[in-house]
Order: sequence, then structure tokens, then C-alpha cells
Amino acid sequence: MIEITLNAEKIQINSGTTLAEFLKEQNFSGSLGVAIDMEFIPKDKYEQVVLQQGNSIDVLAPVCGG
Amino acid sequence: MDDIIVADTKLNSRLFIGSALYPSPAIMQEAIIASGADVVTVSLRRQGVNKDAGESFWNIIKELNVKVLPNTAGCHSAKEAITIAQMAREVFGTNWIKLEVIGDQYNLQPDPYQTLEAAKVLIDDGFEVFPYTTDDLVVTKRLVDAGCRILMPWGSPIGSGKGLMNPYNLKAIRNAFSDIFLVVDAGIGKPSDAVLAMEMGYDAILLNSAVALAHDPVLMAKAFKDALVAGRAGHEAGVMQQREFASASTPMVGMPFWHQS
Repeated sequence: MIEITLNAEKIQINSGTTLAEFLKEQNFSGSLGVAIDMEFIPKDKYEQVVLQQGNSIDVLAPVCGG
Repeated sequence: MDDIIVADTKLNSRLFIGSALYPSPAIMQEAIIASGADVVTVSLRRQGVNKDAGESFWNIIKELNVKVLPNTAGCHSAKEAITIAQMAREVFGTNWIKLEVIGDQYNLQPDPYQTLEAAKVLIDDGFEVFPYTTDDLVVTKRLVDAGCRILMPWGSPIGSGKGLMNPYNLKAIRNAFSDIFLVVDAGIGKPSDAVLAMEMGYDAILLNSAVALAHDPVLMAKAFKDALVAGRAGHEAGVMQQREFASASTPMVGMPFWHQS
């Protein structure tokens, strides 16, 4: 198991989990943007990125703005 | 009236409008339609407990058939703004970005150094950068040097409704850049502020609170739509020169009783 942070909350996941697997496990879907450790991860990289101990993952969704 | 072209895109309105702070999503939709705006600002935030909220909001915006202008609101560094911009490009499917990097939490004044740094990176990465900046002429020059085709100097601090605090500076920016698309962003409080921006020759305004926080947002949206048309027509018509003396408009020739009383 490794510990990562999802939207500022610490969680445990299996080591070797890809970003695509992680987002599915967490029931994320729809129009989302993802960054790991403040670096943008394009959608076509989700399958290739393997999450690492201590990663900080931000999953962002559309909201109103001025 | 002149065509409205920004970033090679023809628009039908000189109003860019925000999607925040409305009493309800339905009133937001109605107000945006009443405003005639075809550019609407949106943002990105962490996905909350309700995982459908973001998609629901995005569907409402898509129904309006408008051009979206994602922002980097809340960012305090070039790095944060660049990452948010890259995420926004993928989520919203546009290379337009309202670049906002805040340098002071009290008055939400943009940080010119971080804004310029981010603008350079984003332009190199293919973005059309709409930089929110102060009305400092030198900062706007540096942003243009970096490749910005649009400038968005503030009228006054975000959400303050104080209108155009420094018309002299805003005029200086207009005079310096005849071929840059200029938007007064932030601080617009009432329709007469919009008229003033148009009379100065600004190409557009960006507002949110002035409409969303009005007692009747839909009616205020319509008021801004009319104000922009009036102000722009005034600019194109050519405002008369002010004079330091009175000058009668009714002819004196044929005036009866001349020198008789």
C-alpha cells in the first residue's frame, strides 16, 4: 500500500495503481482535469501514469467563475 | 458599427460576462441571454462530494451556445496559473485563458511579475492569453511584448463596483495600443461605467458582480447591453470638444428686442 493525497485528503491505495484505475475506483467521470504534484496530466497519459507514494493529486471540475 | 473581432473570432457583443454569484442557475441563464454576451467566464475547482455538480454546471453553460473564457482565478503564482490553464484547455476545449495571478489578498490586485511570467509560457504553449492586469502602462507594454493580443486592465478591484477609478491611465493604455483588443475587467458597478469605457474606445468590458448582485439581474443585464451600444455609438460618432466658455446654440440673428431694453 502507498499513501497519496486526493484533493487535500490522505488516502491509501494499492501500489502499482495507474491514474486511470485510481479515477475509476474513486468514481470520477465526466469533464475533469487532473494534476499530480501541480503538473497537468493530459487524459491520454492516464493509463501510463503509475501513482507513487506521496503523490498529491488534484481532480478539478467545472465551476462558475468571473 | 464596427465589427467586434477578438483573437480572430467575430463577436456580436462587447460584453464578457461571468457565471458566478447569481441567485440561481436559472437566473444566471436568463441574465446571460438578456445581456447578449457571447463570451462567458468559467473556472475549475476541486471536485467536491457531489461528483455531478461540475458536469451539471458545464451542461448549463453549453446550452447557452457561447464562447467560454476559463479563468485562473485564485492563483498566486505563475506555476499555479499555468497548470490550471492547461487543465482548463482540456476540460473546456478552448485555448482561451483569462490569466489572473493575484498579488495581494486584500484588494485582489494582480501580480504583474507572475502574470508576465505565466503569459510568456502560455503563449509559447499555444494559448490565447487574456491577461487581467492593473492599469499600469508599462506592465501592459511588457505583456504586449510577450505576445498578448488582448489586454484586460482593471477598472477597480474585483467585486468592488467602484467603476473606473483611474480614467487617465485607462486612456493612456488605449492611446498606446490602437490594435490591441482592450477589455476593462473588474470593478464595473453600473451601466454608466460601461458607457464611459466605451466612450474611451475600449473594445469590451468584463463583469460579473454588477449583474449577478443586482436586485434584478436580468434587467441589469439588459441595461448593460443597452449601455454598451450607446457608449460605443458615442465613441464612433465622435464626442465634441469640451470648451471653457458658454456658446449659445440658438441663433442670435433675428433676435427681437436686441439692445432695446
